[in-house]
Amino acid sequence: MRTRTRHRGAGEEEAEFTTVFRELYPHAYRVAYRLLGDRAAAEDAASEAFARAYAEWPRIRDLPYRNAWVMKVTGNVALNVLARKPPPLAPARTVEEEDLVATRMALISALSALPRRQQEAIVLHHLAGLPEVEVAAVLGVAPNTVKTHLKRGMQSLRGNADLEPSRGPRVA
Amino acid sequence: MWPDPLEAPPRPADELLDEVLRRGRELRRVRRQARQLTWIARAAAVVAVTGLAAGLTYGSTDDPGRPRTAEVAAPAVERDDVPGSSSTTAPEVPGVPTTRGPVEELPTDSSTTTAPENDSAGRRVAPLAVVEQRSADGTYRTAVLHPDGALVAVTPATEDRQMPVLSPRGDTIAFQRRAPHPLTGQPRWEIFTVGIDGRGLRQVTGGLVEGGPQLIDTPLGAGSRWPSWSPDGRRLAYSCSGATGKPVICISRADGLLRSAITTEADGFYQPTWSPDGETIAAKRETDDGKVELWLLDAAGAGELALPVPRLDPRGVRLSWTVDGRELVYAQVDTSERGLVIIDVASGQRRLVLTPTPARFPIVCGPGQVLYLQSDIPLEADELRIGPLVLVGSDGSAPTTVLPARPGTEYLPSSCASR
Repeated sequence: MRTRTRHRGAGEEEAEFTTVFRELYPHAYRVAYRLLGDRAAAEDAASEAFARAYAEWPRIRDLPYRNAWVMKVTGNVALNVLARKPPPLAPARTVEEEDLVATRMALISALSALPRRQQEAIVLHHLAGLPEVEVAAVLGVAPNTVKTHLKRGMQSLRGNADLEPSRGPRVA
Repeated sequence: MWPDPLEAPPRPADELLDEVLRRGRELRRVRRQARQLTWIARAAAVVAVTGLAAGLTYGSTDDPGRPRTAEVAAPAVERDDVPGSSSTTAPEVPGVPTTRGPVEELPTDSSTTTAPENDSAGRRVAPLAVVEQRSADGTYRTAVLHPDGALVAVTPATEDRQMPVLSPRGDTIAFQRRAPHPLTGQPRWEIFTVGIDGRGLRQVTGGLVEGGPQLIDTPLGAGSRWPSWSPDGRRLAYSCSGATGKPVICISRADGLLRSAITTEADGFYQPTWSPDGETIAAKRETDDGKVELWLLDAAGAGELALPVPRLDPRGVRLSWTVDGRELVYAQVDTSERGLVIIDVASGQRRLVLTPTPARFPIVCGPGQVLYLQSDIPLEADELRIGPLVLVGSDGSAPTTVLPARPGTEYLPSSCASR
């Protein structure tokens, strides 16, 4: 039998969601942007993630890892966009920006080659900045398993010749 | 952190809020409509069945133009194992006793009887379950594991998997085995049912029914496989062959009549598993790269939805619904992480529950409990996985051996009645 959550009025629910949205949206956008490297695509991905969160709000609003849930959906939406078609990156204007774009493209390519669970762990921990315990909660695995995914994922990324630790994202 | 000035959102959150809320409401509305459509379809099914009682019946499943509502008058079909019927019509199958004539009791194998361990309160812990026994000679038999620990074989040995499933009431088993096509004589998969006492074997698909609808399947394709009971125990869902032989998901009454397809050959769905509320059927679809996607189908054929999970290694991925119908369970194939994978069907979120021992072929057995074969042998290995059947909490806690390992026999849990 399905469990029912405590009833809240539509106004109260929307106000609650609005508060969370204002607080969390910039973080979700940043995660999407780091993956997609395109502002419009990142905005779309973050918005889609929050729309899905609103659709599921009665179920997820009281979860202890609610914010991490939203970040995970954001990461998954962005990764799905990448899986379908890597977004065109904006043309770089300076040498520094060119380096940044090249590093981002290399990171996206290397991330896409990782197993999905390693991708999620790296996105949530290194790009969204969530602690390992929270990553473990949202992925439904033990913290030690998250450590393993992170370790293996980072080993794979470090083995990618196109990624130079001295510049670009701090993935090491 | 990444020193990128572009990481600030181009628009403030407030400007996007209305857009997000509108999209979120749209998602809610679509999901609500899908639920309503299911109810409407179920009501229509009730009307159709009522019409059937007045002398109507369905057309052939293999007719592409086949309507899904009652349209052709036909005499009622009678079978001696259907309440209220008086004659036998199921076809005979070599080596398989049928419902024709006196019921033949299948031999049971008392040597396989064993006793489960008791729990801390001294109670028997074995659920009423159906398991497949694979022997050293490579044959399979279906056996019933009774709560008192008795394990009784109820089907003859076959060379292929029987994929038995226990009806919700726990009195009948549906399974697959090869039988000759009534026109070509070529063996193909068909669905059978048998009582848990081994009596009342009958062929559900592929047989000729005298005086009734001619339910002759196309000789193309593999036939009908992977049965799954509806929660009320009145219907079966299974993979059957479409007009050109490719698999479609069929639903019929438990006696094989009133069959309809809820998917098309182009969809490519197979191996259905009916949800506990009867509204949804989980199914697999093979992709071009040899992996499988998991889908949720509306049981009334109103639509389908892909579960947002990565493509999976098809080996050993057999889905089992939790009792509340909110999650699907299957075994983790990756040998580096042994345990149960549990998918939240609403979000597609997956979590791995580590089990105290290596788990294969898990099935949900009542609220919060999973039965699995304890074995560490890789799926690709063609050797017997000799190990005990273990009942464990769905959080991996309190493992209890309900059927000890027996030399020369592999036990594959198939379904439980205690849901």
